[in-house]
Amino acid sequence: MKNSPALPEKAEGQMVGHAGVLAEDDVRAFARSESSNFVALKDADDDCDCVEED
Amino acid sequence: MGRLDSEWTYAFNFETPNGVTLLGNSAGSRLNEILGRSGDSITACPEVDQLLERRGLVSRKDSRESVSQTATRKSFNVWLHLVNACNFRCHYCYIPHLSKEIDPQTIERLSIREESIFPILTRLFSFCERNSIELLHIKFAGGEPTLNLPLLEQFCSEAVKYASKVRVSFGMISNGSFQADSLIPILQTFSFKLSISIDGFEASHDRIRFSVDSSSGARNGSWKIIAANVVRLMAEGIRPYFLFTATAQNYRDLKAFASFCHTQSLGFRLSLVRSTIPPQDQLLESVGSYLCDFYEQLGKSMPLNLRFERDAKFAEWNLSKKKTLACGSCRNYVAIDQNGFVSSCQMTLDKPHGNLLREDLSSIMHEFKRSADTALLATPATKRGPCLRCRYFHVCAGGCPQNTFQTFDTFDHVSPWCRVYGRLAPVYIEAVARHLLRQLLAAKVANA
Repeated sequence: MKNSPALPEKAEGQMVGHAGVLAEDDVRAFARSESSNFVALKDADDDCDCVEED
Repeated sequence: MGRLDSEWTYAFNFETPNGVTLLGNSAGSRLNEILGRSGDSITACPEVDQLLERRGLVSRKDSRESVSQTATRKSFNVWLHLVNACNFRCHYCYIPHLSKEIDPQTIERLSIREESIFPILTRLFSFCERNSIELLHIKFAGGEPTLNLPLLEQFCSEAVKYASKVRVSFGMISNGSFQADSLIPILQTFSFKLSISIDGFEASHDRIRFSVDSSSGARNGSWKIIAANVVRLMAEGIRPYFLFTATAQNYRDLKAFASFCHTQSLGFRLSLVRSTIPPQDQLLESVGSYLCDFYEQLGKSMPLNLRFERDAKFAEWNLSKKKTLACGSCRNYVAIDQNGFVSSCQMTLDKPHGNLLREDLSSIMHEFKRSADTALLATPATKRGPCLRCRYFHVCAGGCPQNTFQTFDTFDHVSPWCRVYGRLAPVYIEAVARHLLRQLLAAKVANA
């Protein structure tokens, strides 16, 4: 973690496991723990006229 | 890989997409080191390497594990053509043989018959149960499904009675011109997801989607009704999702439209018009330039409470999946018309492969595999052609296969919009990364 970007003290416990490798879920989990403002309003996908495969 | 600022880079694997990954300085350097020495053995750096491997960005020589894609539930999706009728007459509507600008008094004869509800539901649930499908998602469409609300309500009421081992959920694609007071209770009772299909923003939308006053012949655009309905829906806690079809006439309104949506924390999906006439070079050039600028700006400015890939979704792109076809047509998705005929999707309602009032869905799904015009959709691994050699194939997945087939008479041709896709893909990926980094940095500030 020495050379990884500076991270907020409070969040270090959560972020240390990522070692500067973050996917969307990691960012959202981190944001969610810090401020509800950054939680997406709705997680589910919505209906488009076309449907992706599972 | 690409650099976002002095501390952060991002990475994306085009061969096996697994989402965009943000990389801090040390992780970015490490990935660069590994990629730069491909084939050589290098000193292990267990912690970071393991994370990079988990994100699908590197793999060990002896590794046979595939990248773990985002887990999804197993579902079956139905476009249910509740009514073969619409109150508008959009010139480019891709639904074949749709009764347009209809007299509401005639809606019954254009709707699914009451006695058809039982066999349709029985066979859908039976198919799901036999195939261990957990969720049946019924998407009411048409035409305009809100033209027959009593039938909509009856269909949902019957469907929930059947749901047990197989759950059921409901969606609707509407043109937004409904009577909100009548529709909202149904949406709430059955927990609908509502999408509103539009063709521009304000004036450009109204040029396409309008009703005609029978006495004066005047055209009444529908945007004001949509805007008022959105306010009503949101007051009731219903957040509609917009489906914007971009055409030569309206694509320049996208920035204003996105602002309209995002300031209300509403999302949209943008798709390019599906026409049998391929877009001309000049249009490809201008749309490509506009979209690159549009998404680049969104990456820098989209509100942080929104998810980029949902709330500014482009076409059928999903950066977290390795896709070989854009949609699930003939595999986990079919369209059923008002007479029970089953087709590969709503664009081919005039080419059914069976009828759910007379036969099981299993036999119709089998027929999709046998028929020349649907075999590729049912078995994507058989796809051939230049797309397979393209770096961006698993991002755009060749675009809408039906649009390609209707334009070029083969699924193996590139999409009519291929040039736009190829230009936009790297810009879109960077925009997703930039939005993600802004979210991360904002969370850090909030915590400071």
